[in-house]
Amino acid sequence: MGRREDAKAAVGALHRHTDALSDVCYLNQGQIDEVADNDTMISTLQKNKLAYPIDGLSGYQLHGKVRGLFDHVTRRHRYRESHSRLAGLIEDLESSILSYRHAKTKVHTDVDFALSEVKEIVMDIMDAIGDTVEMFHSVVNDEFSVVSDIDERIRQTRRCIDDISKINIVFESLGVSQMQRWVNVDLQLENLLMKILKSHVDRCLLDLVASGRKLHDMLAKLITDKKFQHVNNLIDAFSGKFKKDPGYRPNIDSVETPPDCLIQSEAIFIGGYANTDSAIDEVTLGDIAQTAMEKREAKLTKEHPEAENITVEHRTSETIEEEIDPLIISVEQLFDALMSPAAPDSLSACYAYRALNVNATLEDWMLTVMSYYSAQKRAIDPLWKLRISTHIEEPINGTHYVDDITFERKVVSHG
Amino acid sequence: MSYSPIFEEVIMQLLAQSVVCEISSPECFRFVEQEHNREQIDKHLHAIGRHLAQTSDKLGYFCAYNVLDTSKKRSRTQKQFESFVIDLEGIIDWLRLVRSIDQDSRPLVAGAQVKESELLSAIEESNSLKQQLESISQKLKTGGKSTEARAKLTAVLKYLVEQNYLKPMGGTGTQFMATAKWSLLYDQLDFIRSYDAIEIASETEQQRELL
Repeated sequence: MGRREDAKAAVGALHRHTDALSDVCYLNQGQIDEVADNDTMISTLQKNKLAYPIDGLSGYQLHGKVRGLFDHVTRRHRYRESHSRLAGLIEDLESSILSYRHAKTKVHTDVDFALSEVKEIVMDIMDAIGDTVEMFHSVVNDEFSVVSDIDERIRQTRRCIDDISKINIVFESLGVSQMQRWVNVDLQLENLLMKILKSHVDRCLLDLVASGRKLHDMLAKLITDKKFQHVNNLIDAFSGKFKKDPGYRPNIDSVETPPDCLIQSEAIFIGGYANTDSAIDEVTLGDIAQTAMEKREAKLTKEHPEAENITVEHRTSETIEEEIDPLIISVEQLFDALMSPAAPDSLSACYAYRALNVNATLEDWMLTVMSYYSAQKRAIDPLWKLRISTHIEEPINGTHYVDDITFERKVVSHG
Repeated sequence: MSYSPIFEEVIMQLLAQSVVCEISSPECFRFVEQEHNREQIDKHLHAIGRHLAQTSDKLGYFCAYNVLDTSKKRSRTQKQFESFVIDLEGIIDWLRLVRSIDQDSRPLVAGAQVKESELLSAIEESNSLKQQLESISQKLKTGGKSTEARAKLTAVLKYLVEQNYLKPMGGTGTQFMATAKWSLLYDQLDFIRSYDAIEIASETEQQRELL
């Protein structure tokens, strides 16, 4: 027969006798009794090298590989069974302790027998706890390695974490306070529960904690892997889209209610503007401007420190001739004329402006004449009287426009 | 409510369009993480037509409009989206480049470290990565005239820092941490992908492509 045929025949043999094989595995330690009912099964299994006769004994032994396969595929179920078995055993322990205490108070009852019952249950509990933790440990370490789908692995890990919390409830019922209540003042129970059972529970609890920690790590890693997988898929999807459709530009114009991630509010830069049209803030604005100017000046000085250190040169031997503005020269000429003996009786500033051919505007000329007059007033006033001809432009009559300034000689009376 | 400098800082950051996260501003992020503070911030933003939103991976907070009830808000949102789209292809290419350099092919997510030296040594060893960087630099308009991979990489990193995708760490300026702006980007991509019905390549297709 070929490879495939052999495999099919073996699987078929197991399939045909699943129920009987399951009992053989878990109720009979793999031993198949040589009875008429099992003849077909024995011959089929033997043919497929799945069972062999036990030397010197009647009966057959199921191959270890078959037991391994059954163990592997029923691990979770058996774990659950053992979990509920454990809960039942604790109840049994409680009632056997009660019976033992009761036996101690009676004269004709067998105390040793009651105690041996308690011992037996304690041993059963220790086995059950050991099996449960061991099974859980192997569930955590092996079972998931064959599952490739991340979602399924996350689901299984979560389920395992739930189971671990259930086991913890069982462990809680085997806590010190509970044991002390059971022990009371009985030395034999103390030795049995507080020493033997307690140390075993502690050891198993440590294993359970380690498995639980590993489970949480696994879950965190799986969730991260899932997140990474999702992001990687997104990156690949868009990269593929841009390659396939080079002009692709996403558009959300027609989305009625976009999600939050697409309606991030635009940046607001908080600031204020002063109302320069109103005089109400004049003083405040003046202060702000003053402060700003001071800061600006300080900054400029900082930026250009050389401005602070002006080099002073010793240049006393040189003579620098100051150039006098031609406008000032013309004004001085006008006042020289006024003070000369040949001056006329009346002299107009506008006339002088034209006569001296002043190279400045008439307004500048008039203003300079007035300021010069103010400065020289004491010398000029005794001899000359100033007359200013002005006009008003309606409708505003508060402003007087100066047309001309005329100097008129004062009549000096000689006593 | 009395004056709180950290509250002020958070509000200012949110209104300046920042994504508040553990990397970009740890103190602010921790402040927002507290439910009471979150409620206060949200209440404050609601009064100006906005609300506090969170990225789907819960790593970043940002400010979003309550509703796009005016044409002004709608046009601003569209304008923002358009500027996001302009750089999208370059950003996607950058993500692929960083992922291909990572030993475990992990994508760039908030909190991930980016070391310029590691990227550069991988890029300088591979012509294909050099070309990828060149293309990214062109798409993001960051490369300038330089032909050197180092200059291009530095310019791209600088651009990503300016856009708040990366935050420089340490004093050398060559190590960065990814901010939760990437989380916001992935949320945006997720929505666009489902809206535009962009197909995600199945694992088999990806394997075939790799082969």
